[in-house]
Amino acid sequence: MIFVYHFLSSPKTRYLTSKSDSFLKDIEKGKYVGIITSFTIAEYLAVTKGVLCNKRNGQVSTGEITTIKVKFEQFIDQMGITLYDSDSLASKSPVFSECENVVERSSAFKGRYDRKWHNIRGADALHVALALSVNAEAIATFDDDFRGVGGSINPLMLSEVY
Amino acid sequence: MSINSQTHIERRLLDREPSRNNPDKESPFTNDYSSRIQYLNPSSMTMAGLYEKTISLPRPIKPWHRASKGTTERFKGCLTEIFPELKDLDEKDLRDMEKKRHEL
Repeated sequence: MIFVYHFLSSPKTRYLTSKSDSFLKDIEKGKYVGIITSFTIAEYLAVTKGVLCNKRNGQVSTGEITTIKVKFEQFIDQMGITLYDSDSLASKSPVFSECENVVERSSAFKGRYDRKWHNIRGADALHVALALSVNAEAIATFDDDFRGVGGSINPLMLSEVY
Repeated sequence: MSINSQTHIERRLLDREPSRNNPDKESPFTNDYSSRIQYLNPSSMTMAGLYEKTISLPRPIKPWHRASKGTTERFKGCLTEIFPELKDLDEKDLRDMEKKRHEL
C-alpha cells in the first residue's frame, strides 16, 4: 500500500501519502534496506487496478496494466529495493505452513480510534512468512492488523514512526 | 574439581556393572548433564549456533543497491499523471482502499 499511496499522491491526499513519502525517502537515504517479494507486486497491481476500475467505472486494459507494472519496476530499480521471487522463497523454506504459525503466534489488537479488534489475516500472514524467510527485521505498514505480529519480526507502524 | 577428574568419575559410573543386590538409587546419568556440557569444545558450540542461523536464500530477482538520488520525488504521484481520473482521489478514498485491504 505504501507504493500505491506514493504513486497516487496529489494535493488532495496528505496524511498517508506524506508518511509514505517520508519512509521512502529514508530508504533512499539508506536508513533502511528495502526488501519486497513478487507477492507485493501482485497486491500493488490488485489495489491499483481496483481503484482505477472504480474511478472510471470500467475495465482496465492489458496495456494499462503493463504501464502500471512498468512504473513500479522502474521505481524499485532506481530505489535499489531488493526483489525476491515468492515462488523461489517458498521452494527454499516452508512459507505456507509458516503462515499458520504466524497466525497462531500473533495477538489481536484493539484499535485506538475505531475500537475494533485487528488481527493478522491470510494475505497478511503470507507477507509476514515471506518476510521471515528472507530474515527481515521489520515489516513496514499502515495496517493495524500487523500490530500483534509475534516472533522475530516487528511491525514498523508508519503512522507512528512518521 | 577439574574436568579430568569429573570425566574419571563419570567413566567409573558408566563402566560399573549393575548390582542386583545393591541397585543404584539413582541412575548414574541423572547428574551428568551439567558436567557433560563442559566437555563440549566452546568453539564447536559457537559453530553450532552459526549453523542454526545459516539460511540459504535464493538469488533475488533484483539485488539491493544504493538508491538513485531523487527517485522518491520523481515517482511521487506518477500514476495520477498517467491516469487523470485518479487526480480526484482524496484522503477518504485512500482510507477506503486501506479498509478494503483489511478484508483480504
